[in-house]
Amino acid sequence: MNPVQVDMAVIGGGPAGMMAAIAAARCGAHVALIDCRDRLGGNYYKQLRVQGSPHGHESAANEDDEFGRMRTALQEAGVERLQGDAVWGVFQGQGPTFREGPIDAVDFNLQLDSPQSSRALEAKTLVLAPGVYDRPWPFPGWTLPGVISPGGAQLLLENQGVVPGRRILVAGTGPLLMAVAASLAASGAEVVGLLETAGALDGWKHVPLALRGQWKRVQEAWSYLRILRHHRVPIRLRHAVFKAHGDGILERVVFGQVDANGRPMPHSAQEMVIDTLCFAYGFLPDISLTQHLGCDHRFDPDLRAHVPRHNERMETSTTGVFVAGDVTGIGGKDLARLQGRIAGLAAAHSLDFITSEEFEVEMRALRPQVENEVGFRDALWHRFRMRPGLIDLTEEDTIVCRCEAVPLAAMRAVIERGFQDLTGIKHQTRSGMGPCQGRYCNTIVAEILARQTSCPIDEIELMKVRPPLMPVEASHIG
Amino acid sequence: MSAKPRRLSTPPQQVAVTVYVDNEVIVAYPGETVASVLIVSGREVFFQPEETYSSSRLYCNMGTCMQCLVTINQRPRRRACQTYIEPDMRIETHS
Repeated sequence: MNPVQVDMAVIGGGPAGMMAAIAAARCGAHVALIDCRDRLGGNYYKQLRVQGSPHGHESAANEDDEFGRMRTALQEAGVERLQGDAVWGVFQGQGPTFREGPIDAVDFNLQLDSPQSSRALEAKTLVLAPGVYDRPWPFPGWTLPGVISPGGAQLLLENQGVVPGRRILVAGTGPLLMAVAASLAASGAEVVGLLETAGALDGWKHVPLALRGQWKRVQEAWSYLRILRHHRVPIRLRHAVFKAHGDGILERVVFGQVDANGRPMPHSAQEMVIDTLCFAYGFLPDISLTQHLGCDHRFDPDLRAHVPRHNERMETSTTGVFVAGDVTGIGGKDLARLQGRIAGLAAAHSLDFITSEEFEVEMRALRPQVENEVGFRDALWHRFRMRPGLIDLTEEDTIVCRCEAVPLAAMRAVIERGFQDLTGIKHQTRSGMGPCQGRYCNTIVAEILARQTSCPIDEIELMKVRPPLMPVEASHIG
Repeated sequence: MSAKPRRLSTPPQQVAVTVYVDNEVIVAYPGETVASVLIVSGREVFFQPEETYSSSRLYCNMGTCMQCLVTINQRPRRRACQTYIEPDMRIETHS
């Protein structure tokens, strides 16, 4: 079967991917939008799936309108939609060749897999908008059933109309925690607390500048605070969960104060009985695709994770590969939409669908908006930065790689034996070889390695990524 | 003991469908994921793992962590959180 050929393939159906596809298709490009989810919208646009489930907050109706307009625009622009297809590999030319190194020809062969079938797609340019996922941290008991991600809890509540528990603690860091705690409290669950590792004055110096033109966000945060106060949810700053206990299922947690670096203060430990813990330390960008395509990455000291490098046109170091959205640094929906539009236009420009002059006219309007959003983003994630002292919570028998059940002790032993790079540790311990492909443990292993070898974390080389990027049925790999 | 996760409201009975979880008949509603149906029916540990895997269940609920793999209509290793229920679906949790 001959693969479908398009000018541009967009991977990811969230705000960034949708905008990129619309922008390029309106310039006349033949665009395919590939989304591995069942339904469009990414993590941001949550469509109500179940009758009678509530909406999280007041702006939800506006979001539905915005999402509806984008869906119509996709259709009108003639974007081809491949819904439910996951990209498990991108190759040069004719098909899977498991060759290493960057792909430099502007000719990408995408291998797609869905529960029903597998197929291929050929594209001249790519826009990658894979987004982010909640970042866990390995403390004792974090793998117990009853411990879920805040993003997952929010989807459960707002998409599915399911409240995940009765007595819920929300913990970690980041602005999402407040939104999730407010939604849970408003849905009738008992939210026993919100623990945030950031301190009250963290990043205050950047606040006045960063909030310029961001009143919508201030109001949103204020509305969450009001809900939390109404439901008497205590907010404890500079606090974290130290341990989770339970006989096969979460029953209670130990929590306490942490210092500015996230280091736990054992004398402050207290216990609490809960049935559900929603915890995450911000988000991790999903860089499996940009790594697979050989793009350069930079280490972000606040996220303590790598993000793909890109220029003003959202093009990566790999020719013909553009990025957009949260994968570039968690700027939220508005920045994702702007970046998506830029990436779509730039990709269309690279194929001569628009002239340099036309592109520059668009950029002049978009540039100041992007700068404003990036300023806000950087200030936000400096305040809610990942604090490396949290590694003190990880004990010798704490599972670090969940897929392969590898505890800290096994990793330390391997590092002791001289395997002092991520790929070596992976081969020796099997960490990162399971179905999540290291998405959750890679950054943790890097922290462990940095700590044990006194190597600066930004000097630790990223692990190589090889296809398949997702579990694929063996019969589908031809 | 009743399940801790619960539906906010029960949709009208006429839209209900039935699915089979480990051969037990379970009521579910169109639009729900397999993961939602499993946890509201009291199955919070729904994948008794193979030897090398740690205890598994719903964690990320967005298709990334691969901790919620179950067998659906005889196809192994399907993500419960990314699969929408269909009438008469057969789900095996290996528990």
